[in-house]
Amino acid sequence: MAMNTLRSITAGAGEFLRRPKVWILPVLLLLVGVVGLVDRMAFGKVGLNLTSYVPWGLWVGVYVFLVWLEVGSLIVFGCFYYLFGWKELKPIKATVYLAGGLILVMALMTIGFDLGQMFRIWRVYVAPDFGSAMTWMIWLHTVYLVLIVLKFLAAHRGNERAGRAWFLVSLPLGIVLLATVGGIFGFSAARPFWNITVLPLHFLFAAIAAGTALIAVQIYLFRRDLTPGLAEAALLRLRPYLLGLMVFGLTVAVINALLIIYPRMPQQMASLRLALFGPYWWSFWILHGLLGVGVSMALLVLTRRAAGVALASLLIVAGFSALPPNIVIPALATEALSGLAAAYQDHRLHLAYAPSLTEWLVLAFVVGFGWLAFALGRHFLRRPWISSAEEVSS
Amino acid sequence: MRRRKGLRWYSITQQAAWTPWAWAAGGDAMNRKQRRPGTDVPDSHQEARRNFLKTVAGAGAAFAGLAVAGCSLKDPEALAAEVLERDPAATPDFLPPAVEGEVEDVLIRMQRELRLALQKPKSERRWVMVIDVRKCTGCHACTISCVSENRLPPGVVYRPVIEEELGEYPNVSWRFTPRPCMQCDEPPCVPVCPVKATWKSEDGIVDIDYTKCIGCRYCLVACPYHARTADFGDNWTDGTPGGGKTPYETTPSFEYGREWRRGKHRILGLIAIDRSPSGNARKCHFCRHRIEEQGLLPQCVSSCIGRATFFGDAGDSDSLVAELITRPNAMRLKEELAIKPRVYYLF
Repeated sequence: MAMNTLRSITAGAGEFLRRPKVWILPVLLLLVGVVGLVDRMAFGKVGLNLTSYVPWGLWVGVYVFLVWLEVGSLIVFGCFYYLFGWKELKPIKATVYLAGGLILVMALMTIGFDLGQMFRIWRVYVAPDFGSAMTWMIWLHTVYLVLIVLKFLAAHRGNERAGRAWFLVSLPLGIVLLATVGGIFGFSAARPFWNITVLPLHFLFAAIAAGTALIAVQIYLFRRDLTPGLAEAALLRLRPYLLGLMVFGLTVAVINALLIIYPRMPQQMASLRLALFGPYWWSFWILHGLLGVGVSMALLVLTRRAAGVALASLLIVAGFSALPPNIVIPALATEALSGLAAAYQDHRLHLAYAPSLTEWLVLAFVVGFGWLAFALGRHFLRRPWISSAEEVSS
Repeated sequence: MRRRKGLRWYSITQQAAWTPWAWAAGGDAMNRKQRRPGTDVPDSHQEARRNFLKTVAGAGAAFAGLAVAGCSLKDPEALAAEVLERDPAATPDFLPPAVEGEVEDVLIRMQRELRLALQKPKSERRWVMVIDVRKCTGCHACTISCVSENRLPPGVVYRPVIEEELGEYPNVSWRFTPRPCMQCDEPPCVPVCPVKATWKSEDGIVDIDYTKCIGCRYCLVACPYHARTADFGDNWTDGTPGGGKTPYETTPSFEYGREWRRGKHRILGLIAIDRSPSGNARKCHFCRHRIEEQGLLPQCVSSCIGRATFFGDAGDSDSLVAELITRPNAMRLKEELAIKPRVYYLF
């Protein structure tokens, strides 16, 4: 039995290696990223460009984005599959859970590297303070990780009842987790740019929209796992949902902006100006505004083809990656006390923040890791999914 | 980590303890440590006490006439009685000698009041800092002495001084606003900590336990004064032959009454784990180690050349700070947030 398993794994590995187009890019990312990883692990946080006034940067922004993707996609998929009865998506269920779980692991890696004392994370479980939103976030995330594993196992073994039960448990938990991540920022009275009532709601809508888009991308990418024609039909059925979510999300974003602009509070306005017209204006206007919202919504309105919906979804996912850093960093890169940034000259005591090479490289490592793990997971777990697709079609 | 209790240590940054006024105020902190209530009083001390009472009684009139920075002194006889009641082992160096015609330095009064406050239980102390912005000359001595006292690395500063240019030519002036930790009574940095590594202590100082902090920096984000900074593990001599190993960088700091040596632990010679307080959030703690272990004023107060920073127990209604914070020109930064900072500014 063990020998058979070993032989099967060896054969699978050989087959995987013979398909370099599946692994070459993630391996390259890993190899490049390992330089950053070594720098982070061997020299601590010296190589980061964070400052005491901008203590959260690229990694926290990416963490938020990954949480949006992971929780959003799993909530949306579960709703379509279990609540709306889109049973034709069954063959990609395990793939979606695998992706969600790995994105969660990537999110935890990103935020773990950001901790000053990463090896003390156990303290959050042993001596937590439940008055802190961060404790809630970490605990909810941990429970969510367990639930994803349970959902994945249920999907892999074809246990529909268990899968449904775990989904029903994870649905409210996911919504609370998204709101809590929004709350981490929204509760902070010291940062008026975040301290807006609708920010957690904004996070919720952004996550659901980005998650739906990720599901659409996955349906298109793995359409061969589905019965011919069903993927295209599913994508076209997703189109109005995506469009509706984008409209809702845009409305909340506009309300958010109005709540900042109307009172014209100086610190809020300074942060908003930094987000819209600061050094990273292009990431907000071009990546998020133009591609992630404008072009994608236009495509969704105009297209009648599944490929168009998939492209629009890809643009939404890519475009939304620019939003969290543009929420996180400008709020911090604004003086809470006028003149403070000039009071003490030090490379860690100023407001200008640009991610360092180490930060980018570690991010490349995390992406490469997640990508490679997903490719491996898909490769080794593919057979049962194909057979289940055959079952559905038959 | 070794407890530093009872350790006799002197740093160059403690020079204030050896200056004439601090000597007069009982700058030898070691003596105080040897005279705990309830201990046997040596004969020499009994003799000294008698002389002390005589001196105090004789100089009462002279004392009553002294003015300190526009503030009145306590009645010396009553004060002496109060001190002896609390601490039978008190010796003459508890109070400065009365010299007729000389004006008492404000540091002496604060030092005396500090020692009085230290006789009280911790829960009855209410540490407060007052900064007279009109007197601050912007010399940054407080910033630097604080950096030196706490062996702060790059990126960590507890007390920067904000400089503002006011008005337009020809009516221009500069305003200097030192910004220590405000030690808020409703500190927004405390409830956000996921591991209870920071708390509001009963004497009012917001403390951090460096051994618990996970370095998430949520408290930095939550502070509306930017009063917390992150220790990212940098050294002043990184990239030079010093390599972070110069005496300044290897000498321990004694924050919160413990000995801290920054640096890195290594796992398998490769993976670095920051040795606290490296990797932690850090902030001003009103030099708790100086106050409690040595009976000394915070370093920024001792080093202020303009006598612009005052420190003491606002729980003592006769103290200098209690007097100052009730003045109409006493204000706190961002009072609208209702987080009740304990640092007052005189504008």
